[in-house]
Amino acid sequence: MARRVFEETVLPHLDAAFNYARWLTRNDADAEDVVQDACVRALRFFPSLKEGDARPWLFAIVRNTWYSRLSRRAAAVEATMADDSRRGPADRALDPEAELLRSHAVAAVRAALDALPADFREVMVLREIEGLSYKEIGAVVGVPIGTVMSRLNRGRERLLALLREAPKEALP
Amino acid sequence: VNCDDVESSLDLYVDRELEAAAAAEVRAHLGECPACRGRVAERETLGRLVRLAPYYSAPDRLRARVLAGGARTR
Repeated sequence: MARRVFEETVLPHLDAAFNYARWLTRNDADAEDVVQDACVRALRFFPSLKEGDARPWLFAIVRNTWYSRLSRRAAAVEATMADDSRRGPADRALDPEAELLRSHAVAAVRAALDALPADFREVMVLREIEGLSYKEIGAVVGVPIGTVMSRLNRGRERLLALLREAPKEALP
Repeated sequence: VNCDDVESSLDLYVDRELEAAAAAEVRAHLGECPACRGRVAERETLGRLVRLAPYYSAPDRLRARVLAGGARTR
C-alpha cells in the first residue's frame, strides 16, 4: 500500500528528478545511478514527506545522494567533469540545417550552464527550468533565501558574461 | 524608486518574488527608464535561452528499475 502511494506521489516527478540530477552530475550514467539511489532513499524516507509538493522534496534527496557520492570520490569525479564541460557543444554537429541557428543557441547556453560552478548551475536549473520559488530552492539546497538570491544573481551575471563571449549570430 | 533600487531587486522582480506593491513601483520606474528596461529584458531573454537547453527526461530503463524497486544493478 505504502509502495503504491509512493509510486503515485513520487514517480510523476521522475523526469524532473533526472533532469536536475543530469545538470548536477553532467553525465547520464551518474544521473541514472543518483536518481535510482535517491528513489530507494525516498521510499525509505517517504513517511517524512508532509503535505505539499513532492517535487522539491525529491530534489533535496537527489541532491543529498549526489553530494554524498561525490564526497566519496571527489578528486576523480572532478577531473571527469572538467572534461565533460569542454565537450558540450560538439555533440550537436548533426542537427538539421533548419535548426542550425536554434541549435547554436541551445549549444551555447548548454555549454555556458555546464561551465557555471555547481552552486550557481543548480539554482539556475531549479529556478529557470523547474520554476521553483526562492523558498523551495532554499529548502532543496539547504541554504537561506538570501543565499539563493545571491547565487541566482551571480549565476545570471556569469551566464550573461559567458553568452556575450559566444558568437553574436549564435543567439536568437 | 531609482535605478539602484531596481538593480538590487532585478532578480526578485524577474522571478516574481516581489510583493505586489514593490513590483508595481519597479514597473512604474521601468515605464520611464530605458536602461532598467534593458536590464530586465536581458534577464528575461537569458531565462528563455536557459529554457531552450535540453530537458533530460528519465530513460525508460531507469523508470523500469525504479518501478522494480530493486537496488542498482550496474
